[in-house]
Amino acid sequence: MFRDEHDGQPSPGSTNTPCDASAGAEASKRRSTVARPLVVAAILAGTAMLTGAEISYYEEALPSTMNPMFARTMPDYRSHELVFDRLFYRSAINNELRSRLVASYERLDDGKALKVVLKDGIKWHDGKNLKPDDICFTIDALLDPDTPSPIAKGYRETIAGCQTINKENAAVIEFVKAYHNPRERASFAVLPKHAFDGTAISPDLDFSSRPIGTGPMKGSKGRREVKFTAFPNGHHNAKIGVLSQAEGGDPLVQVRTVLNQGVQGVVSVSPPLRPEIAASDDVALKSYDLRSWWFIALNTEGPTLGNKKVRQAIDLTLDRNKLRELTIGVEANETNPPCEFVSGPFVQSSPYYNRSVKVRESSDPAKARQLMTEAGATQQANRWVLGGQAVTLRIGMNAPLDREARDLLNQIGNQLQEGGFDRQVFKIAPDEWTRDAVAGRMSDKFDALIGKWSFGVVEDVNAMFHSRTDDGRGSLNIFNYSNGEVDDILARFDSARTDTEAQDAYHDLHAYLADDLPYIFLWKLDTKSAWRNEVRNNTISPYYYFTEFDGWSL
Amino acid sequence: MRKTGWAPLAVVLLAGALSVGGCLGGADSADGTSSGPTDAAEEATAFPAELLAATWVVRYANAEALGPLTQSGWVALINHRHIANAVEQSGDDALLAGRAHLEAALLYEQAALLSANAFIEVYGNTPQPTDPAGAKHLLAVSHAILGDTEAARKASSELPADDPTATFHGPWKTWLEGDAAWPPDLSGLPLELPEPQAGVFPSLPPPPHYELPEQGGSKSKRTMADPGALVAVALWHREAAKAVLGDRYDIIRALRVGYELPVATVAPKPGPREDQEIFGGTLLTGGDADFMSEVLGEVGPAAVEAHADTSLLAWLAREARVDGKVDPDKVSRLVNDLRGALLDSSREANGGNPAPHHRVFADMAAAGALWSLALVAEAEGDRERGGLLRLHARDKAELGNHVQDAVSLLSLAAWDAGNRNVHRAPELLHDQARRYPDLEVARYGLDVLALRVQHERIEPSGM
Repeated sequence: MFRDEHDGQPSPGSTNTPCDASAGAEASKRRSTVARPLVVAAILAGTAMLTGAEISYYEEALPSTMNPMFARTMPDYRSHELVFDRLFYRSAINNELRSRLVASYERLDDGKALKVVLKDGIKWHDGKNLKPDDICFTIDALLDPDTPSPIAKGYRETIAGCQTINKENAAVIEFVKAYHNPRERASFAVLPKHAFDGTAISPDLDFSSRPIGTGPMKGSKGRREVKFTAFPNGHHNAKIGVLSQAEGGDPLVQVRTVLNQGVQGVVSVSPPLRPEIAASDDVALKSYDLRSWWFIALNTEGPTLGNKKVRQAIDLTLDRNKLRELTIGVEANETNPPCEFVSGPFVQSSPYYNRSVKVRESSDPAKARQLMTEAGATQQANRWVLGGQAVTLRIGMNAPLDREARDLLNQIGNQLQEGGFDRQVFKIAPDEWTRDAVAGRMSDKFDALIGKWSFGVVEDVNAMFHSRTDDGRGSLNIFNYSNGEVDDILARFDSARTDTEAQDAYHDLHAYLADDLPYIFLWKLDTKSAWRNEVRNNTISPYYYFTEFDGWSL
Repeated sequence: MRKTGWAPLAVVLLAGALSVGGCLGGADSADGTSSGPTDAAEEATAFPAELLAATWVVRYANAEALGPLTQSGWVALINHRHIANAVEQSGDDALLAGRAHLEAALLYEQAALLSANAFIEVYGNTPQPTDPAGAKHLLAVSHAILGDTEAARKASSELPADDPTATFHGPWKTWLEGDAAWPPDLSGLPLELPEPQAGVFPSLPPPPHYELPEQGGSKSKRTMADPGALVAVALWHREAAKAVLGDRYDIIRALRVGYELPVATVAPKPGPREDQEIFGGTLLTGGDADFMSEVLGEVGPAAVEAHADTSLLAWLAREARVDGKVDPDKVSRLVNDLRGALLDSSREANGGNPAPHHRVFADMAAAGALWSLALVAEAEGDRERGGLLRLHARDKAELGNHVQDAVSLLSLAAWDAGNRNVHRAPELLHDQARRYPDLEVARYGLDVLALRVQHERIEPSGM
């Protein structure tokens, strides 16, 4: 959606679609006549970021950590891909399983162990040599219960241990059972043993801002930017000397800055602004394959939203078509929109998506009223009153999302207000979101939280919906939702013997959640990057983004 | 055979037809010039003027020449890339109807190829003891599509006679027990397709088509759509195209060499091409058709040098060579430059005046060149370079509907499925299935692949 030139606020009548490039160009010309101080200042600032061979780009947010053991956000993952090597990775092009660290490998014990022989001459960014000890140290750290790593669960269930064979420059990774292709289970980023005191790694070490990796770029995280500097190595030879990452602010500023050469790239371009990029001869839109879906998590443990009928009434109060049109610029009748509604915790192209659960596109005020009445609420002066108190919802949103879907927080608040729910809205800073919201520590502050989840190939949602337990289940359960039937379904998924059993379990989960509504499911929104044409051969890897960064050039 | 209708239309309709219904991809600078090469420090590519002039882009730079192609069916086929609408709006324009039906056939064939690659990856390369017995039928059809008749026969022989797939397997079994010459007679499949008829876009019965009980103690049933249905509807469209194109069928068919099923062989059809035949496609000049037939056929990479003077694609392939192979980075630069050169040439051909459709056509040509050169790279034996060029071409599709070549995009999805890549393929298929719902049939194969691959990987839960 393009903003009104007069007041800078989103204008409902000025929606545009990614398809409508000519209209985008028109809008671009229209706006180009308006000197907006914010835009100009940001462009100048962006230009100042460039010196010599340095290139710059805007991220959705700065990474919360530079230690891959504690990655919690997509900016984390993308940044880590520049600094570290994963032991094995998939080619972004032909999906081949490869390694930059391993010279040769051998499947042992019928797949219950994997011997990896390291390449010679690989240096850490502090100049020390990569050794087999580093492989085993990383595994030991992942397996150490005192390492509070959110990514460790899968490895702890799969890997049993690791032995070094130093005279062969090799390590043997032992698995809990035999695997057809054990390399698939060894895709962790390798850490330097010498940088840590022990295998119990803490997220608040200095390493989290000044990491030491073997990746193509040496990274350093500051308060306002992350700087990556090329580190020539036996296995990497990045052609771009310096890469600066800044947090993207106003989406319009980001787009204008990349169009005006202030930066070279933008990781995520807001859909309404994509026509401006498409209309440019100097900047190209690039596909970034990521499965992301947006949601409103509801506080099922709270006094108001603990009532399922109230949750369902809220769901029926929302008009998703209008929300999408006002915030993303997609009209209801668009045939192939970048933003597609979902009725459960999967994107529609997923095998886990239950197609029998229909999406709700429009509001149904009459049914919402009926449900509120059944819940014991009364309406006084167009406001719902429950237990003698006006129903007031405190709604928070992960702040960067408001850039992708402009003003979504207010628009949701407005629709709920019109439906009789008082609301207070709050933007939550990304670090606070990662630290508190995702960790289930905002139950006493909010009734609803707006967020999105992004996935790669694996779409395991157990961590979002399982009851929180001491053994780490439910680790991403935002409002500590706890439902025995859901836990049973998730257990079925975990213990499924066949792909079909797993799929059936998640189809059941989808149907159950769409009715019980610990989340209101909004939409899948595809992600497009923009890079200037002078940045060449910039293949973007699904999910990890910078896996093929060695090939990027100017 | 119907008469090809080239009734002149008012020029004023042209811009309207091209701009109202689809995405123009924006406008150039006020004077209509393009910025040309992206890096001023580099020398601009000098394209042979005669090859530029021979492109359909330049041939149709003049609104008068383009007039006949502003008919709604052509706009649907080229500007909106909506194959079904193009078929249904083809009227009595034989070439349009033939091209649209052939595109429809290729669309379903690429979906069938996608399914075949997925089934072979799952049930052939990573089988599980619990896989349903009916997987043998899926494998038999998949191997047949890929042209491996022996593997197809073996899988067919291992299918229990009373399997739920029996009705769908029957015609394939008969074909495999015979000479297995393509195409098979699939009229016995329970699909209720009408008799082939130009201008009609038939629908398949909605999936799933059957349920397959799993084995090895599992009590689950795998719902499944039959990949043979995709082949059958593709063959149906081929019959419709033949009926309307008559003796031009093989010539038009050869323009899309590289997108047919591996089991099918496309004989080279050398000779001149009419501009309308290559208009809006992945070829740029008439000479490209002969080049592509040879480079993807028996001649192989040697065709690049042999055709560089008569084919713009061959010329690009030659200029982009590094160490004897097409270099994707050089291709990207050349194609960017080509787009600018086509804009300049179009303006010149239009009396020095830019027209709104110049940019649209230049975008299409740039995307078409990338798709075609991806095939050349694969013909040179470098799948990775070919894949990279496919990805570059896919990025061009971000410019709007006019570069959303469904057949090429599905060919990327099929390629990905053969690589066990379930990042891109499901989204690519889903995008097309929103427009062509029968492509949902292919989703069943991709689903089982995605499920199996997910089971193999360790990744974080969500970010």
